Amino acid sequence: MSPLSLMLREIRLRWLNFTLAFVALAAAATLVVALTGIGRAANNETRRLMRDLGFNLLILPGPGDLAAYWGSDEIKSHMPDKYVHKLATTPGIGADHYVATLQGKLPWHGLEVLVTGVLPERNAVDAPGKEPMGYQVPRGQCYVGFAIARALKIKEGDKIEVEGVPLKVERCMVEDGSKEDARLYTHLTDAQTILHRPNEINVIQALGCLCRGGAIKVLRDRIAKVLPDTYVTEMRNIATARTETRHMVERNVEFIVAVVTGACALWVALLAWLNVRERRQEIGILRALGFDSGRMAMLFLSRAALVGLLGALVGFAVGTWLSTHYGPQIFHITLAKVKPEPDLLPRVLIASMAISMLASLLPTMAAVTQDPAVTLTEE
Amino acid sequence: MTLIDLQQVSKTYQGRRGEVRALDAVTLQIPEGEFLAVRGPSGSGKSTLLLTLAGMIRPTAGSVVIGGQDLYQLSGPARANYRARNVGFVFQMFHLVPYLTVLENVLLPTRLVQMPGSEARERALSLLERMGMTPRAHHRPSELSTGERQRTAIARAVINQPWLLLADEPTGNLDTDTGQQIMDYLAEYQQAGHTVVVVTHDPAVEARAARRVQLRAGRIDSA
Repeated sequence: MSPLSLMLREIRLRWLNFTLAFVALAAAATLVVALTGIGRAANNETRRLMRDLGFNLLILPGPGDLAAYWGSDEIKSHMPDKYVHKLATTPGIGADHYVATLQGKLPWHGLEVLVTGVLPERNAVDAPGKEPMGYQVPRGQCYVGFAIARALKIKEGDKIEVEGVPLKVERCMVEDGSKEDARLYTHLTDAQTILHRPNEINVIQALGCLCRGGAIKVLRDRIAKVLPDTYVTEMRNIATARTETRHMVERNVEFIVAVVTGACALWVALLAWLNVRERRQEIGILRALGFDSGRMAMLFLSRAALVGLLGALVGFAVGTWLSTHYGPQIFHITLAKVKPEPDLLPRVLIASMAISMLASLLPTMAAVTQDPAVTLTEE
Repeated sequence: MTLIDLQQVSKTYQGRRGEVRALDAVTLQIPEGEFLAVRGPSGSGKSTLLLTLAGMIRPTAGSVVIGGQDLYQLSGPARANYRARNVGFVFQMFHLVPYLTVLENVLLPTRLVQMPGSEARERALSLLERMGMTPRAHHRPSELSTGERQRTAIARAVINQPWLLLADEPTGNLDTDTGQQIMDYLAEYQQAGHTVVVVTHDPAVEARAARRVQLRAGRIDSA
């Protein structure tokens, strides 16, 4: 009669206790797998939604004429447009989605238009292949803000001329209720011609990737090493909303996983106690027959390991099904990223077996140290 | 030849109402091959004495020397090994493992002495036949009568051929005829050269013993 056979026979007799522990561990593993899968999707979704809030970093020339930028949307000082290339090709900055921008006010057909020339976005060298988050205006084309289009009755497909530069209206933008409505977006080169600033820009917009904890100071230090004659400012509301929302999603998942794991461990420990109590006399007789503490502990801990193993396998399968089945219905933007996560399987297996064995440790110790003389003389 | 030598063995339990002295300076020698009956009222320390002989209760004072070896000088695993190889146990309440069949219960101790599977099975089946339990070999304990349970417990106790068989009220839950059969077997085992120590209230069992020891309040009254 091998220890495995002994354990399986015992499980067959006390199947309810085993099933209850198995169900608890399978439910916990299901929840952890589903929450982790969905949590990752939620993180992606949140990242995308937060990204749509816009850039959160501005890199300005010289000491940083913030009053001019925010007060009149015009910055008199400029910097070379090659700066954006320098920044994007320097690894380890902690920012991404660099957009070289030249903007300036221009009277046009009785309106004061905010001409904004943008170069196609540059990804950081250490974060290649990301989708652009701002406008990508080809040369010779423009995007017209809602207020301008409305006032001058401009329609998509029209041809306009600004300071002698011919532009095709590619898009008339929807009403935004902000300065965006007075902007005329062009390719950077066209804006440089219109504003008579060849090879110059006056701001680089970017998305800071660093999370909380003095991020702006770190970014300033890093950027100062690459572009010492610039000033970095953070659009704090956007940056804070972005990081806080992402952390909130992560914290929610962590909290739920911790509570579920704790509750599950408690439940398994309780069932293990009940199992030990129920087996008091059996433990006594096995000791009397010559089972030493090691063999006794192995009987109980291998039972715990088995229930952990089975719970993890079933939980992983059910959790994966739940997250891949329901995830895409919840996360419309990043639904393609809701996929089975096989890398979770070994971690769930180890965690489930460890929780089950740790929860059973005290009851096992009780079984091992139980005085057989007491139970064997009980009637 | 003295096989078991107990010298001034005392065992004190810490109870809720203070100390309980289960054994009080017990000195006893048991020769090899003896059939010894230990009698006494409830709470006199009979079971404690038996479990002390089995290496399961460490005495508070005194020594238990078996075959020249002080039992309680051995480590826990060594004592467990001593029990597996040298001691057979029969209890009043049978204490069969409920999820194993009769045959599996009997085979259980053979695992601990690494007896080859075929030899163990052969021995178990032979013992079950001797006990008249062959038709019940694949039944669970819950499907057996009390007499059948005790016969299974005896088969389990002797399968490793231990030289010391300890029985705690082995007939206490049995009718007279079944009790008689059990005692016949214990006597037969002793006659084959093994030592048998039986704790009992039953005068019929005492009558089978070569020697009787009376315990009262943890002390030996007569030997």
